[in-house]
Amino acid sequence: MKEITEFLRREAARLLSEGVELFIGYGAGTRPVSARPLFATKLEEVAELVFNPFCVHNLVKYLLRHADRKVAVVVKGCDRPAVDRLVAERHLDRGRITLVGIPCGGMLARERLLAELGPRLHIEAVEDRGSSFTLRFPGGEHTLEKKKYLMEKCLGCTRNNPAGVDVVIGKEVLPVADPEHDPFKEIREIEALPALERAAFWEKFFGRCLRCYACREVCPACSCTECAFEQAVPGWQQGATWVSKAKSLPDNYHYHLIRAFHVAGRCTGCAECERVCPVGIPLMLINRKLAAETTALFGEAMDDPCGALCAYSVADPDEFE
Amino acid sequence: MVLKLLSKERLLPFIERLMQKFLLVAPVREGNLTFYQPVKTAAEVAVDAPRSVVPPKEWFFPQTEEIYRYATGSGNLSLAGKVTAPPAVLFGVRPCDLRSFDVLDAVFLHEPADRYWAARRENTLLIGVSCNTACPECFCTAYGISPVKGTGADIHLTDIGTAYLAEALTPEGEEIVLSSPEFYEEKVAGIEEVLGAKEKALTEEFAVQVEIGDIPAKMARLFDHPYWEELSRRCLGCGICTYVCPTCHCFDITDENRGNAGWRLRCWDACLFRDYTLHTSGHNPRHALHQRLRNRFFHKLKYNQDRYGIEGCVGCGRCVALCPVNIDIREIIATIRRL
Amino acid sequence: MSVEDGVKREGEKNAWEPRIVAFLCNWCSYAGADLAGVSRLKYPANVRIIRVPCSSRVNPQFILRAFQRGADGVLVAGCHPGDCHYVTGNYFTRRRLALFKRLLEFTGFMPERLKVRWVSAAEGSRFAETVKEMVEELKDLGPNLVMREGR
Repeated sequence: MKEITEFLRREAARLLSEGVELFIGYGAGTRPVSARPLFATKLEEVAELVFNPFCVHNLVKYLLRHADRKVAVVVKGCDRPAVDRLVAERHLDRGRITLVGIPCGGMLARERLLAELGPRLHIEAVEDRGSSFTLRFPGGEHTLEKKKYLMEKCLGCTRNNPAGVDVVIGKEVLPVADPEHDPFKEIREIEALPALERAAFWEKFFGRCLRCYACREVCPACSCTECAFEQAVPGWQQGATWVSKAKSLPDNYHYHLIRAFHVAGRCTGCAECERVCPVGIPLMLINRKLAAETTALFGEAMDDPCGALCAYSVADPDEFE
Repeated sequence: MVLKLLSKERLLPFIERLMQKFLLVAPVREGNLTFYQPVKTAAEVAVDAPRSVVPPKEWFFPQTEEIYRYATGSGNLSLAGKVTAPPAVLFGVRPCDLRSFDVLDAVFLHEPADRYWAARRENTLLIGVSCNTACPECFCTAYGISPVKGTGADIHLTDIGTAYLAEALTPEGEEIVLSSPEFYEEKVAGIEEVLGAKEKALTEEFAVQVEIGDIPAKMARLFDHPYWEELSRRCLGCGICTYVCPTCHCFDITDENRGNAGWRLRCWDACLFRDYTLHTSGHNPRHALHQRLRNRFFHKLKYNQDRYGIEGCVGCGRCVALCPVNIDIREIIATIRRL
Repeated sequence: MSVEDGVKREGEKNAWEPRIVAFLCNWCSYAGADLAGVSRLKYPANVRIIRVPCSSRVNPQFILRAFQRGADGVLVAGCHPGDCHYVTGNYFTRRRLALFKRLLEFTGFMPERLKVRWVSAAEGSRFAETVKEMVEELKDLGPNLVMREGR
């Protein structure tokens, strides 16, 4: 991974000196085994760029804030489709973006890592060994089998070598997907529950929701300039909004169901929403379920750049008599 | 101050005794998260639970609180104000969160006092608990808080191995301790050393030793510094830091109605949200994210001190642990000191 | 159609009655409902009708708000596919509500709570039958508690 980081820094320096105004990548975080988004505008700042299995963030959404500038952004395989989504919906000009693709050997699930190795890790280096990562720290090293320590989204990943990018950092890597991993297992378990128990399952999680809106803010598909849940109205008109600022189970349910529905057919599966949630709501269960249903009902083709719900076919399945 | 011991086996019976007279709000585990909730049985209480996601200030200042409700019909109007303050025990509060109640008292009890906050504070017995482990993000000692001292609690419990050291710090706490047979007196040699050693071990677990210095004065010069814009580049503008912060207290008032009946609610608000300072005219003095982010840190690190004479942060580390993009108040403090 | 007929059932004096909110498109299903009335066809009074220009006007948020405010069931009725007054509206409805129905079921609603049916302006009896059918189904299920406001 050291070579990748060096290659990345060289390319970033080259791009910045060739007209790119802003380079968005990852830098070291202040917490153990973490990274964070890094914004470099000057050549000396590229020395802080890193790439390692803690670089979980989807950086593509930041492009929306800099749509008027020439920007380069680091994309993993799971981040890449978000660019197409935003370009298709005319939020971004592909011509102003330089995509720096990094073949990815998987991202580590931070909680599981800390649970295994303790909360005070000081990692000096990380080596990608194909089916495992070796973490080197002062006094030793530790090898972690990817099957057990990767984030769930990585276990089902078939796109870890981003295609259609302008620069590729490093060589193609082998798939990280675990063939035994079934991303629909928990979904099927929920579907098998009687309706009352299903409702209880979701009430438990939606009841915890703080309405911090981190899921919406981090999601690249949530790109509306005025969100349906952000209608700014004076206090006396609050009753006219879809949900109020107050936290209530019905309002939380409404927010999550509709956000999932607005994103249905457009979700790129980056799973950032679930990662950022401070109370652990399993949002990807809904998003994955809707993505699967959308494909099953309406097919894979992107008839409309805005997603399946903005299009129709006279041959759509009709279960409504 | 009354000093006694409580053996570990007698903790549950003590809690059950409390539950006969009070509503007990205590930390409970749900998966790998901790929440402060009213409990139905003593067994639900997770006394050594890791730091909660939402701080216990929620008991005194709920995320949504009904102020009043009204109903109209056949020429009548009924209006019912509501102050909910049952006799309660808030159990298992860590020293950082105990300090946060002082910070919020300065805000809510400032004349004219907030009667919702005041009533609950009045009717709630506080039982604090010293930390047994510290998270790497903690830095309470930077604000003069000790992870083993129960300043602000009525009773404070510290795990000293074989038993809990129980300190009754107020007349209400003393009354409870003296009337509960679970507590016993025993001379434990070298209590001061034990507590000192525990505090030292805990602070060594802090990943960063934060030095506050004279942050408020330094910040006065930094309002227009480009640092805030650079910091805001990765900020998502969500409300996580605000909603997990023990000292945040901004709220919005909203009216809802259902035809002939309605109610007024007070609910948490976050200064990072786009509409936080949005005026009815459409003008927004803090339209840019960096203005809102700057405001948040100025409030935490300067304005609270200027206005109320008490620091706005308690070093609990929640915002550091939960910010999705690693905006780290410890780092900001160190940067401000450097700039 | 008499109000009492719809509300009381044999042997049950004060039985709970399901409340249904129906979104009917102006050109087909609303006209169909009107035809049911004009033809003196009996159907239960449990339904409250909201007229929309086209079934595709129905935002899924309307359906959620109906459940929040106490509806036990929601009916969305539109023109038969191919017959939409606005040509393509109901194709969108068909897609949207097929997916939304699955979302509702996944998150705990019973499938009978949301019914989507194509009813033309000539199908007064079909409308009446649909309402009767839905009331029967909901009576068996009981009130909807998912997302219901409690205040």
